[in-house]
Amino acid sequence: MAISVSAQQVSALAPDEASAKAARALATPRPWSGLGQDGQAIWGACQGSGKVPYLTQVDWAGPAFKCSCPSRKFPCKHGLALLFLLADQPALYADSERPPWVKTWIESRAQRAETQNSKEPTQVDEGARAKRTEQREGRVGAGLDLLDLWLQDLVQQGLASAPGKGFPFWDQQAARLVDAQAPGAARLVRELGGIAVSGAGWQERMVSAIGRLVLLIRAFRRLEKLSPETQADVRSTIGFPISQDEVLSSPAVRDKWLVAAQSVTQEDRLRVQRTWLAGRESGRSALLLDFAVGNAGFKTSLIPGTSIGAELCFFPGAAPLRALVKEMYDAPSQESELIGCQSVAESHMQLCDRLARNPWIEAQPVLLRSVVPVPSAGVWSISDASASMPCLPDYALLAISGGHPIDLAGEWDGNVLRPLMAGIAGRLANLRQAVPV
Amino acid sequence: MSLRDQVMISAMVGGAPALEPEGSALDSLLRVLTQRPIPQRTLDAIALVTAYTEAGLSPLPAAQLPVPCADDSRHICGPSSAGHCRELLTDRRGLLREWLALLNAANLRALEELLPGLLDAATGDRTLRKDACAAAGPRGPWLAQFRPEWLWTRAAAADETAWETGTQAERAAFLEQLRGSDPARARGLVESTWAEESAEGRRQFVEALTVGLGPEDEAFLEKTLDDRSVAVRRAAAELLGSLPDSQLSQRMAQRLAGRIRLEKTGLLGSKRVIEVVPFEEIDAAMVRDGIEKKPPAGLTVGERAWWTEQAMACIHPSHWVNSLGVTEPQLVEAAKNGEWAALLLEGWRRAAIRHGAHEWLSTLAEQAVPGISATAELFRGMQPEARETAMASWLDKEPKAWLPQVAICCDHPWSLPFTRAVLKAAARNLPAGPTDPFGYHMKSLLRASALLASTDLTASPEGDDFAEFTDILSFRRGMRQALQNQENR
Repeated sequence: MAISVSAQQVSALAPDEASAKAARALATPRPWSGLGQDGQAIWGACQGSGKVPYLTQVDWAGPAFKCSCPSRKFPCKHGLALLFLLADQPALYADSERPPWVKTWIESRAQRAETQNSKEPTQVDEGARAKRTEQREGRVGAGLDLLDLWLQDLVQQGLASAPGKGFPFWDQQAARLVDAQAPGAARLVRELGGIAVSGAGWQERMVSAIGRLVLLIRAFRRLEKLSPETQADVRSTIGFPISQDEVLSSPAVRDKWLVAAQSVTQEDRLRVQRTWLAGRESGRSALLLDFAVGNAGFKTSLIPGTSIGAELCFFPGAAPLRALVKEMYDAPSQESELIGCQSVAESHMQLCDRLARNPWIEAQPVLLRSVVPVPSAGVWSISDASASMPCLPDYALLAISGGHPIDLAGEWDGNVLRPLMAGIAGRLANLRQAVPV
Repeated sequence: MSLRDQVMISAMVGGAPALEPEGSALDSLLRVLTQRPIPQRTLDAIALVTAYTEAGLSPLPAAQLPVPCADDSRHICGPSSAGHCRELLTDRRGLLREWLALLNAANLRALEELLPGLLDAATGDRTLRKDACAAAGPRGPWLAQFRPEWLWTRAAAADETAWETGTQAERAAFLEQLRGSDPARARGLVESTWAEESAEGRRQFVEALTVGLGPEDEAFLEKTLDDRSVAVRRAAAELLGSLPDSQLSQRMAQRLAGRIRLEKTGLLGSKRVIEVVPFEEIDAAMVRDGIEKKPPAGLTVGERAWWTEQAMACIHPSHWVNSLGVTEPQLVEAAKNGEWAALLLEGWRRAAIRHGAHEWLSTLAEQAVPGISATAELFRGMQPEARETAMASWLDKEPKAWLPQVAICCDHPWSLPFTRAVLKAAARNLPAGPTDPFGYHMKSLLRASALLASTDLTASPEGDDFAEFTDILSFRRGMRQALQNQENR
């Protein structure tokens, strides 16, 4: 069975603009030979400047790339070109038997997945681990106590003076929390510095951010009295790590997941990719996080607008969203429609409900059917006949809608919706791919 | 005051919030809080009240929905074309014009999410606007109501209300459009409000008459020669000077009568030469007809020659063939035999461009000097075929001097034979090495040529020098094919 991809989807897999451009130049039949596919993988040999052609292959599960070229970019231009060419001229790829080099790779990948799944939990010294955890909790507790005093001091002076404090003021307190092994809490304090100078409406944002910090301090003090889910939320917000094995050992949710939207944010040299999935059967939403440093590509390269059959394991929490892929059991297929809430009010309820369960929740998915983007006097919103929700200005979204109802997938940051994918007339449009205005 | 407001205020100015109960589920919790010491109590109240209220906010009321945009019945361009367009907007801006023209020719519309990028590109580059407008269809003006930078899209869809209530630019754009379909009516509109228009408005409207200019416009323009504003007078004279047989043109011919004479010289009187008696002075009537007294700064020409040249520029150059009784090449030859060659060639050049005198343009192209703007203007005044013939012959004779000029002088889509001729000349004159200063010219020549070359070219020359050329050309071929395939389907 042949899988169809669009050039737009392939561009989204490129680690940077230059790679996409180089790959496009290579996406002509001339340098390629031995092109083929078999439903699971596609492959081909690309004649470069050297004598021996590069052997390029893509496994749709992932998709994962492999190429014999020496490029440090991942995926390399040959892998991307293989897909670009598929998008342009699918007829070039005959359904055929895997050549040995493809076979070896696909099998080794399958084996690796197997061993990963059946890996015996490594023996750990439970006693030593418990002691380490206890020590860490002690340090975190002390750090949060100091944070409490610091915050008391701050509100006693009145927050009106906050915008004049300057970044070092906030950063110093954040650094103390990093020392106390509470990196999550440290990040929330550092963000206060940004909120203080964020202009109109900063007071509300500041008070609500401080509210969340206080709630965190109080919750940690009586951690053992809270439900296990809320304990998990408190611990992950503070920055206690949780092992992947632990997550993967929880019961998995099997479903056909729509890759509804994807966003990338830059934090210094670290790029964070958020992929939002929506389960067709379960109706659940899931978030896959991926990180990349500098120019490196992301490990998971799910293509927005496709859907995958997969088992996901959720991180524990009262409103679980973040998940890991335990197993992907078939190749991605192209989708042409979004799924989601039938009204803005229903979606709003969902956001409030998750916030009530987990007051520290940061990004949430919004999936909506039949809404209209409305730009008015500088404040944009998406609206239906009875309710609306603030959203970031996005002219591509406006152009797609033209005042008509559209389906929408996006990310809610607690204040405003960031549109990421639009669906109209049987077509999905990735807004991240539109040329920004 | 709501609890949230109480908390906000005490958080901002310091001090403890009053925590008046408001009959919610929070009341009992807040009662506990009042027992705590003050700074803690404030923090606790902030935490409780913000979490409680934020999780219970009602959604915002519905917004006033915009009136939906009219439907566009054209098919949308396919995914490969959309991919091309994305690439054009990010780093192949030079090809945007061609792509838009092809898209419009195929009667397809652009993918909606690309419209903002296209409209922005055309906001920065006016020459793209007409095609961008067509590609956007009704979405263009619809989007412009939310982004004033794109208001120019409304001009194309303008109706007569634009003339009555629009901005100056919208009115001028409407006028130009109307000139294309009903020139007399457009002129009538201009005359109907003439007295109330500003000087700048009058100038723009006169310039709008360039579209569809004809003898019927003469009476109005002749009147306009007496306008209060010098810019308006100049614009009117410019148009009258390009109307063959206009009264202004005839007046110029009378003024020059007897001043440009063909004479015989040489031993046996076998050589022809043109003698010129330039104007001795300039009078009010000449100034009224648009002759400027001072030559523009930087032009090294005497005042008398300058007046004469301007007068020549208003007369269709065939006048000299008829009145002096020899052919164009003979006239040029005779001019070069005398001391007035520069004045005559320049006068004829300007007149030929203005009046689209093709014979003259070809004759003058044989005398052209590479690398000056006058030459580029001359070539651009010619028909594509004649341009290519003239340029190909120069490339044969003086390739190094003319290669850098090819794309500037011939900025039209090239025919296949001309494309081959340029590439042949380029391949024979490749820079000698990395230090050869001609390398720079060659690089920019090939880059510009790739935008104009015929996509029917099957084999481009080998070698690193041509790599970028080949890349751009194959991209163009791809974008053509993608749109044509879709059109055929």
